[in-house]
This record gives sequence, C-alpha cells and structure tokens, in this order.
Amino acid sequence: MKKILIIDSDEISITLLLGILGKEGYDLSVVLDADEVFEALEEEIPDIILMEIMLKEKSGIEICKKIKSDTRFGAIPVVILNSTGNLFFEAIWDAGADAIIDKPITSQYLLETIAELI
Amino acid sequence: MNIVERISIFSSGLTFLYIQKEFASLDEERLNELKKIFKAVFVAEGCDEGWREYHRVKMKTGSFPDIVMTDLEIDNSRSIRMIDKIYLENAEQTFIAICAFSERSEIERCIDLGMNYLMTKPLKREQFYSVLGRCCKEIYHRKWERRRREELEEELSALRRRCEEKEKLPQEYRGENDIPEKEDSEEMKSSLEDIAGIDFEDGLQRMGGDSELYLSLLQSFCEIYRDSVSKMKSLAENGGLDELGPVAHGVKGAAGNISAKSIYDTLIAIEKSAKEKRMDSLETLLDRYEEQFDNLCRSVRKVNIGGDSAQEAGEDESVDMSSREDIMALLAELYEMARRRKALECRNIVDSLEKYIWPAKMARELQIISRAIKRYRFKEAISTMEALNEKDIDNR
Repeated sequence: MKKILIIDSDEISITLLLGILGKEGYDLSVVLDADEVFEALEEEIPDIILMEIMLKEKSGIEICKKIKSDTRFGAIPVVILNSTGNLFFEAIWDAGADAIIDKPITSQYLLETIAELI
Repeated sequence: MNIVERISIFSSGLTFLYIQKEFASLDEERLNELKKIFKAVFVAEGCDEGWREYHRVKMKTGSFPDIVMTDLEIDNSRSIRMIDKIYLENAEQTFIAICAFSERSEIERCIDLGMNYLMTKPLKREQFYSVLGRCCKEIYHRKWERRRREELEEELSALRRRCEEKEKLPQEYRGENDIPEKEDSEEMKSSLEDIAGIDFEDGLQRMGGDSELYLSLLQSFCEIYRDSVSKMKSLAENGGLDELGPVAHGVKGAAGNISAKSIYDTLIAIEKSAKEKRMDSLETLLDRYEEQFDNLCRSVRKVNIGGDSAQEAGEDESVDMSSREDIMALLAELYEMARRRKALECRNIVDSLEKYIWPAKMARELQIISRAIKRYRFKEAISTMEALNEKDIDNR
C-alpha cells in the first residue's frame, strides 16, 4: 500500500484529501503543524508528500527546500498544494517541488498527479 | 521551437512595461529579446517615472500595459505605494514582481499587494522565460475568453430578440427558471442540492461525486468555523484589522474547498476591506458573512443524514458498556495510530468508541480525545490518552 504524507493546516482541506485518497486505498498520515514534519518523516518514509504552501507558522516552500536538500528524504516526490495563484510558481519549482496542485483541490487532477509521481 | 518563440505565440499582441531601479535587473540583451516577443516594450526608471510611463502607455496604445514588471525594492520601497496606486486605478493589472524572496513575511507582503507573479533575484534565463510564458499564456487566454464571452452574449441577445419577436423563446434562453432536470433522485444528493449558498454541482465534482464526503465536509466547516464570525467581529471592533485579514483568508480557503461561493466572495471582500482599513464596509460585510454562514449551517443541520454521534444524541445504538477494559483496549489501539498520525484509522476507532456509553469518570477525557482526533490534533489526543491512562492506573 503506497504511503502518502499530508502536510496542511486547513482541516477542511485535510478532510477532503482523506476522503478522496482514502477510497483509493492509500495509507495516509497527516501533519497539521510544520514543526512536526521531520519528526513524521523520521518515523515513516512516505512514497509521496502533499504539502500546503501556507502552513501556520512556516512557508511550505521553505520546508520543501529542506526536505529536498536532506539526503534521507530528498528523493521523495513533493507536491505543493498551492493557494496563492501564480505568485510563487517560480519559487515552488526552485524549492525542488515535483508538482503543483492549485487549490481548491479537484479529485481527478489530484489522483492523476499522484499516479504520475509514484 | 525555443522558449522565446513559444512565448511569442501568446505575447505578440501584448504590451510590457518594465519599471527598473537605477541599476537594472534586466540587461540590454534581455530587453532586446523582450522587444522581439512583445507588441511594445516600455521602460521607466524609478517609481515616479514608472507611474507617469504607465499612463503614457495608455495614451499611446489606448490601454494600460498588459504586464508591468517591477522591482519591489525601488526608492526605499516606494514601489509598494506605486503598485497600490496602480491597483486603485486598474484592479485587473497583471504584475510581475522582482524581489529577494526568502521568508513567509515576503510571501505575505506579495499576497497583500495582490501580485500575480514573483521572480527572485538573480534572474536566471530559463526561469525568467518560464514565468513570463505562463503569465503571457494566462493573459492571452483571459483575453480570448473575454472576447468569446462577448461574442456569445451578443449571439444570445440576438437569439433572444428573434425568439421574443416570434414569441417562441425556448426556456433555456429565457434566463429565468433555469432549473436543470434532476437526473439523480438519490435522497442525499437532493438534500444537498437544497443547501443554501453552495454550488452543488461544482462541489460534488470536486469530491469526485462523493455526496457523503461532501456532507461531512460541510458539517466540518460549520463546526470548525463556528466562532469565525465572533472572532472577526471582535478583531474589527478592537482595531485588529491586520489580524482579521489572515483569519478571513483561512476561512476563504475552506469555503472554496466546499464550493460555498457566496461566503467565499464575501470573505474576499472582507479581506480587502481589512487590508484597506475600511471600517464602514467591513461592518456590513461581516453582517453579511454572519447571515450567509448561519444560513449554510442551518441548511446543513437540516440534512443531517446519518445523524449526530450516538454520544451526543444519546441514542439507543450505543452498546451498553460496563466493561471499561474494552474502551481501554480501543484507546490503546487509538494511541498507536495517533502516534503514527494515521488519520483514517484514528477516525474509525473514534467512531467505534462513540458507540459505547462512556463511564462518567473518563467521559471528559474521551470527549477531548474524540474532538482532537476529528481535528487531526494527534499530539493533543496522545497527551490526553496518556493522562487518562495515568488516572486509570491510580484508580485501580
């Protein structure tokens, strides 16, 4: 069963992701707080990470950069869930993200993107 | 076809204004390249000249430049005031900002300004054209869609006129009573359709057609944001407008996910009014938001398929549970799953827990655990479970 780590501060968004991905049989873990991301990664290596760009205290772009520059986790595909329009398009790619999904999320595009990356 | 040629497909009819610092971020070669791909390129140095050139472009071409590219750090950040002034005059202006992006504060500043695209220094060629390409493509499609919409509206008006003349106006062109035929008479779907303030079709599509998930999200929205009205009103009354904006932004994102379009639009306006510190409009907008939120949640409660949890409603579905051990066994399982942040598994265990009648001595903690799990606050749930376990050991 493929493992997905969801990093998002918006509970509605998490519930939506769980609803869509749960039906597809993915093994889903959730992190609400940016500070817990590396703790979660050390406990279990996911096959893919879905991460909101605007977390409560930190920018998802900064966390993406840290993940990608860490030799233990750098190979994990990171999908940025983008709620900022086109504003950080370049910065997201610069951070090493593998895909961008614009919010509000649509199930079909989400599933297709994940299937392409894992 | 190289990247510059690809962009030209979308950019050849567009105008471009570059407002630079004394020491330009774009070199001569790049500017010459831009002149080849745009219909016209204008360059200004500094904010005052930039503001003047912006209007000169309108005089010369008949419209404001399609794209304004500007450094955010011109003349001790006077660029921000210039951008605000331009937005006041032309709210639809597309901007590309150049700045030294690093922290969340930078992100927030750009969002506050309403910027569309951001480039970070130093400007690398590939990235420069990648952002520019996306920007041009979007403007091109926007213009094309606007033109197409105008054409369609014209066609529709002509058709209406013809039909009215002949008194044979088909219903789909009348612009009234546009009630689509119900293809699905399923109880939940039709109940959801009646919910006030949501775009049902859009929302259901977003959920991949899962109406149960949709209802659950609507219920969560009402639960999670039930204090949002009082919170925003209190911030407005106590001068906390800088905090109000981000609160509205957060709720707006959630409203978008459930396709609550009217609430979403009101929150955009609230965010804008808070940013502009316009108390007069803010009060009205917050009242409107309160009414829309109440209407939505009232409709959601009416649907209430599946009902409240047995614990809340005190229904007979509950298992008569005298054995505290079974609850503790479920909690042990829940503890392990919460530690691993397995949201779905945790949720299922909580559903099972809620079917039991909770012993009075642990009811309060169980309620906290249940609520924390439903809101993905695993650490809070874990610490409460640990406290409950300690208490249980002491009581033995």
